[in-house]
Amino acid sequence: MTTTSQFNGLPLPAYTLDRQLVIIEGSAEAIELFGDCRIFTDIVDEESLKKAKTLLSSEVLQPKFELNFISRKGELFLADVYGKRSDSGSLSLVVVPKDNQLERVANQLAKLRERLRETDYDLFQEKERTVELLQRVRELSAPYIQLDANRLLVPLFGDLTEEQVQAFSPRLLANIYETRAETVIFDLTAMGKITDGGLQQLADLLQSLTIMGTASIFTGVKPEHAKHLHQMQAKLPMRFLSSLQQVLSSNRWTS
Amino acid sequence: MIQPIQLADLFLEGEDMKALRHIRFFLDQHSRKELFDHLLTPAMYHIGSLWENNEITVADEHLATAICDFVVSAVDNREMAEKGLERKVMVLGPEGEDHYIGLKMVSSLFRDHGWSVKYMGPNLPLPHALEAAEKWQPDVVALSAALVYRLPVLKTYAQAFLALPSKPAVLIGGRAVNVSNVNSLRSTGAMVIQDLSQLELWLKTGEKPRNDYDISI
Repeated sequence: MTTTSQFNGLPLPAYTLDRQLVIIEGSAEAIELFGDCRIFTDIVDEESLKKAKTLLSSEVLQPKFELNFISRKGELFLADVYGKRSDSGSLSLVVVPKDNQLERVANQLAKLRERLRETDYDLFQEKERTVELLQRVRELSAPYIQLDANRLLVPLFGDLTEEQVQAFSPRLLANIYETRAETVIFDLTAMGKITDGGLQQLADLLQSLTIMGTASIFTGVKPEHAKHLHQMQAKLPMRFLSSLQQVLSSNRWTS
Repeated sequence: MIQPIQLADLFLEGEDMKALRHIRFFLDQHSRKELFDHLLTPAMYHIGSLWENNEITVADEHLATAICDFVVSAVDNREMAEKGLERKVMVLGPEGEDHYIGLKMVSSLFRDHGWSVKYMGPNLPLPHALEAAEKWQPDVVALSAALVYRLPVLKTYAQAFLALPSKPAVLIGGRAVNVSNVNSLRSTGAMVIQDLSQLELWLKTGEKPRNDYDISI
């Protein structure tokens, strides 16, 4: 391959190829970029080979197409190829590497994608942790304290929601079964508001307790709780005492 | 029901919401694996062939890929991932490999089967990947490459992960393992997964893919 007058002064890589894609001549820029090659397909990236062969061997040459090339230094880059077939059948090609504008934008996008992914994952992990903590808080919002062989004290903390009652009910029921407690004292002194769902769940829990033969006493009831609990009392056997102290000082301290 | 070629057109036009609507409709009747296998993969292969036929440019491909990425992420099943805390998989592409839609599909399929997934993305340098694996201790490392000449790099990665003290299983997949001889990969002890059906079978039954039909080139 030699540099001939046809390409002199052309500031781009350019080639003339025969029908078998053997390089007849190349511009100085072409040799600078790709080195001295015998056949055009040697400088085309493996994944672009099929496209190059199909397009370059077609009778009607497409005037412009994209191919990936491998430079002399081993760098992969995308370029526009402009081609024209002469009457004799030889091909004239000019290779115009894409300016790095596209690459710059693609890299920027990749970085943004990366950041979104990381943020997404961090948030996801945080959410997972929060869900676990919330469940733990719910379970712990109703500790139970065994007062004596028959009585179990359950102080309720925070708002009484459906999820909360669901979280502590199984453990509470299991514990009552094991200790054979006859009375459960729910102390509402530290309890916030009651939701409708929470009330419904509490009713279910009391129903279960009744079936297990365990009585329920409520202490520390605030006025806003009273309204809600009042509706329930009509259907379920519940006892109310104004304070925990009253329960403790009353009967049956020793059984 | 939308066909892969129609979907590819939506991707190329940048119609993210339209594409998502069609895909949600498809998912009413089909699994995610069917979505990936029967719609997204053929659509993306079709886009590749459009480039080969000089009908679109690389810039168009980038846009289509971004839209495809968006819909895969949008329909991803996050609920299962919360519960599946016991088995962990790390999904990544080797350094130099920029194709990542396959990685996302694989992640999504693992999640669908209740695994906890760490998606590390494509183009991940080996030291970084190894460090993450030592810290997170995944049961499985899933690698994927689209381009055939990445296979030697994949082999290096597979060997490095298999040599970790935590001994994760290594799965290798992607377009590259379908179009070339992968015996040298398999000799490392890694498992070569040809497609999402094989992956699903393995996830469901633990059955290794039968690759008797491999062709040597």
